[in-house]
Amino acid sequence: MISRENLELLCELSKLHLSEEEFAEYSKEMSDIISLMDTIGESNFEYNPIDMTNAVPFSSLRADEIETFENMEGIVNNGPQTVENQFVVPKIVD
Amino acid sequence: MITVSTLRKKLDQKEFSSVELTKEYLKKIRENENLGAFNTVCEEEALSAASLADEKIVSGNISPLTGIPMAIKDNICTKGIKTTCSSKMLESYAPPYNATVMEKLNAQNIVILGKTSMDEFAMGGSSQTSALSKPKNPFNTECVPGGSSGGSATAVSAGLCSAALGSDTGGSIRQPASFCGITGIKPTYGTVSRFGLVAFGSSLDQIGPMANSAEDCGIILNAIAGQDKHDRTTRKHDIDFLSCMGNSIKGMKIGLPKEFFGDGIDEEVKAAVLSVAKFYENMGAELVEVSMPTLKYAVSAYYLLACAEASSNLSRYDGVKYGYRTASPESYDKLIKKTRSEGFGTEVKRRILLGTYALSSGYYDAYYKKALAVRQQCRAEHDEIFSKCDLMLTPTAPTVAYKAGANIDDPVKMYLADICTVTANIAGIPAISVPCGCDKAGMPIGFSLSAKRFDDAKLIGAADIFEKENPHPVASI
Amino acid sequence: MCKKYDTVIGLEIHAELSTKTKAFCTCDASFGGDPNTHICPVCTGQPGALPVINHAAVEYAMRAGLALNCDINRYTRFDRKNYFYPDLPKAYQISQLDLPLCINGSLELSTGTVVRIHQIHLEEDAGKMVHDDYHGESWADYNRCSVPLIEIVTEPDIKSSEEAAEFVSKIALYLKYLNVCDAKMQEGSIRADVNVSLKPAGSSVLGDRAEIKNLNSFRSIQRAIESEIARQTEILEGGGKVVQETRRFDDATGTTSSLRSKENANDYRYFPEPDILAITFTEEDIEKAKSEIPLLPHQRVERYTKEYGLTDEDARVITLEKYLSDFYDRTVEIYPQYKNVANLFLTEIMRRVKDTDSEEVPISPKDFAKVVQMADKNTVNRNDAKSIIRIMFEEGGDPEEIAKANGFIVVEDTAAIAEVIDKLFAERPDLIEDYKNGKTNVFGFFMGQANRALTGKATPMSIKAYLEKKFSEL
Repeated sequence: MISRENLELLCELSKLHLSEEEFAEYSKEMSDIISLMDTIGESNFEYNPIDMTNAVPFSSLRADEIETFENMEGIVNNGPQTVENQFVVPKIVD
Repeated sequence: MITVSTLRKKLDQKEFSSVELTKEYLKKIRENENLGAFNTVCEEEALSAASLADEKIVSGNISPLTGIPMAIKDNICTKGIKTTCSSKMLESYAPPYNATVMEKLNAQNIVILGKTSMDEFAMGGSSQTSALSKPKNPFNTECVPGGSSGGSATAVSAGLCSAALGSDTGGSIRQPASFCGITGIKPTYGTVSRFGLVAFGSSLDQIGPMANSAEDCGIILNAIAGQDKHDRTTRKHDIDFLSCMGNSIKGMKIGLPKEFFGDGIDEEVKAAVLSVAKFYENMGAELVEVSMPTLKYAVSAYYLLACAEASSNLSRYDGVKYGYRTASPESYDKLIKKTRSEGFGTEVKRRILLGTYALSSGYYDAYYKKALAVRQQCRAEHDEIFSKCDLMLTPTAPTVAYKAGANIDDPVKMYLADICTVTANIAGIPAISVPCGCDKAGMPIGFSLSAKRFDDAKLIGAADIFEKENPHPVASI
Repeated sequence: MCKKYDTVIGLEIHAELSTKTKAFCTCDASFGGDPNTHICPVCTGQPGALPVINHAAVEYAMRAGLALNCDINRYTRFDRKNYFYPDLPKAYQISQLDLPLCINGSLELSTGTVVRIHQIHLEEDAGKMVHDDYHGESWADYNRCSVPLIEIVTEPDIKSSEEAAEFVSKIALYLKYLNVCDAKMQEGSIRADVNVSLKPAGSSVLGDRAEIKNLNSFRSIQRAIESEIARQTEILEGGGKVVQETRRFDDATGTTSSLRSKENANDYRYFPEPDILAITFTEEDIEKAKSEIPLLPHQRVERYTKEYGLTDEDARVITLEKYLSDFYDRTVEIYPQYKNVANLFLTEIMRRVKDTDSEEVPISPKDFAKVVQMADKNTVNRNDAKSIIRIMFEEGGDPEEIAKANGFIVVEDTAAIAEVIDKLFAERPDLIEDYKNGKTNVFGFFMGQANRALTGKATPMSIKAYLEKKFSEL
């Protein structure tokens, strides 16, 4: 089971707003899904964070040479709201 | 269905031009709009690319795919051509750049017919989570084509293109290929660049071909594979994907993992796949029984890893830089919450929530980290299996294609249906799905072959042997 | 007075690395440029774009770590730190959590305190936001997005605001000497977060701490810590409890205020970055990086005092700025009169550049060496040498040309010396008499008169020699 508080936190973390109706539906589904995920709890393999098959030598990294992207306007033009070549959002207050 | 290799010969012998061929496909696409294979059809671009290809062909400057009309899954970035991921979120997004695979295909002057529909952000196994076009199975339009690359499978199966690109995170190429009676391969993780593939589960995603033959898959892989400076998870390799074509299967060991032939598998599917085993045995292969004990954790490990990565990968859709943006938000927080709540569909939200859960403080060790450990164990198990056999044979899916709407409201049932395909992604190994007849209702069945990492060519060779004797089923549309 | 509380300070210093390209894409990483003109699909978080790590960013971070006595993890990995903010286009920052590049370093302060460095990791910067109050909007510019940063995390070993300021300025100086960071605080290339807590004097139990974010000058680091110590002291004195939280420092009021935000739940959900493979290092990689570490300020001080014979004070002053120390080094390479170069350098060069923002000496080490040499050889006198430097600073030009044009070149006209002094002797027989009677101080009068009459024709040294000869012959 997933608690109301837990689902609310997940919504906040992932910036999703659910209506009351959706909330009830997701609560039920998420609980079912998590029960399925819980099967992994029976496994007891050791995770080794040092995985040499997933590593490359330092010497193979990209050289520090500038290559300018040729379609910067294409990026800015996709902005839903832009002013003076910048992306606009409602004013941030922290 | 006509293959790429046949089209190549006919184009080169000037039996018809690429423009004529392209027009023929575009006509078929229009006639079969009801199949819902495409989100976008690029008629103008296709015709101008075709006429450019024709010039190349006339001048003798020919690559294996010059002038070949293909369809591209709608999560592969095409510069200036909408790339929607079948989501309201990206409904009008035209990328400012090309995926590396598109650059490579364009360098061979292929013709892009259009962008094929899919499950939203590749999350699903039926293509029914699409917020845009919902593709149908050409063998029975009441059935799903599978997913997430359902539009590509539909298009190839119905003859709306010569071949297509799909992407596979947990079976998204192989399962729809199986449902629609075509061949599809998920190559070894790290052989094909993911640069420009809209990310779902980054450590699992691979682009691959869906086509009318294993040979066609090899031709396309030869064009798109290779280490990419834009994707450093690609490895240096010089695989010729056609190098095992025509090789005998004599003396090869084919492993049958017993866990893949258990209760959850439809009897007709099981029988069809076992008859494939018989076929290979008759051709001189040796069958061996192998075991994959981690299979019982595979679905949960897969969903935990894929959704954790997806929850992070899909955070960038916030209505600031591109794509859907909610109307007149009063604060930044409202802007992102409303944009995401309105822009994403139900299944995408479920998976974002699951992934966030798996990574959140207090749950990370119990879920995500356990999944990482299962992944390592699963890889070790595959190393073990492939020390005993060259290839592994399994069903591609537990069932044939089902009716649209059947699983959509039961996510757990839907997730469990991925059991046969997810281990290849978890282990990073190549796997190919090949049609092996139909069930009593006339729906195609597929079998899968997998091999150790970078042994992709062996799969294509072995699949070709089977296809030569067992033609693909053809949809009567 | 007996102190009631001990201050415990830990620092997190963020320094932008001065690589040519960004950390994970090939965009120009230099400061400035019109908004969104140093961008590409990767650093703007376009769907499908992938990060590719810059060799130089890792190399620079490793060099910093080695200079700060760190161990290099032979297997280092990147992680994603997830949070939403409009200056972070991917909604995650690529950073390092479990297997950072550098661990277990240290730096000693002038107070004798050894500050342990917990780790140094590599990460990417965010973009820049400007706020438009009138329209109630914020604008995002991604030019700085994905510029490489190192974060230097200390243990809570720092005991005062002065120590904290010294630590940060020392780090800034080191990074400059290492050629890995411009360390320009006004461009935001170095920023610090400070953790401050108080504990009863002598106690070993740490108190609850407050974190003050994003301080971007040595002065504000010191002031913020002082105001935070005062605030926490007042709370503890009143029997209250310090709340563990993030605070912001306001430069105008000189006080800190809470940054609690209800909307932002703080769970970064770190996990291994799947798009970047881990990096492994060989012993040769590490040895090579070690060999590329230039002399650090304290090592240059040692060389200046032990090998060049400068005073400790002079050596320290020269090394306070890397560009000045570099200039001195280049000058003595050309003209190895270490002390004479240092003397003119400390007076004439240092005072002219010390109040400018530009980190550049407008004259060349070669020309400066020439001037010192001319003064040493008495080709010009010392005062004129200073004038030559002034003219070179103000108008430029070749030192020899300047000396000639201004009549600074000293000639030894022995005939003129004899003529002038013989004439003076003839004119003042009274003073000669005084000298004979033991009033030797009249020497000074003759010296002064002769010097004046012989300006530009003879050096004081030869005038003095001739005078001495004349008097001895009396």
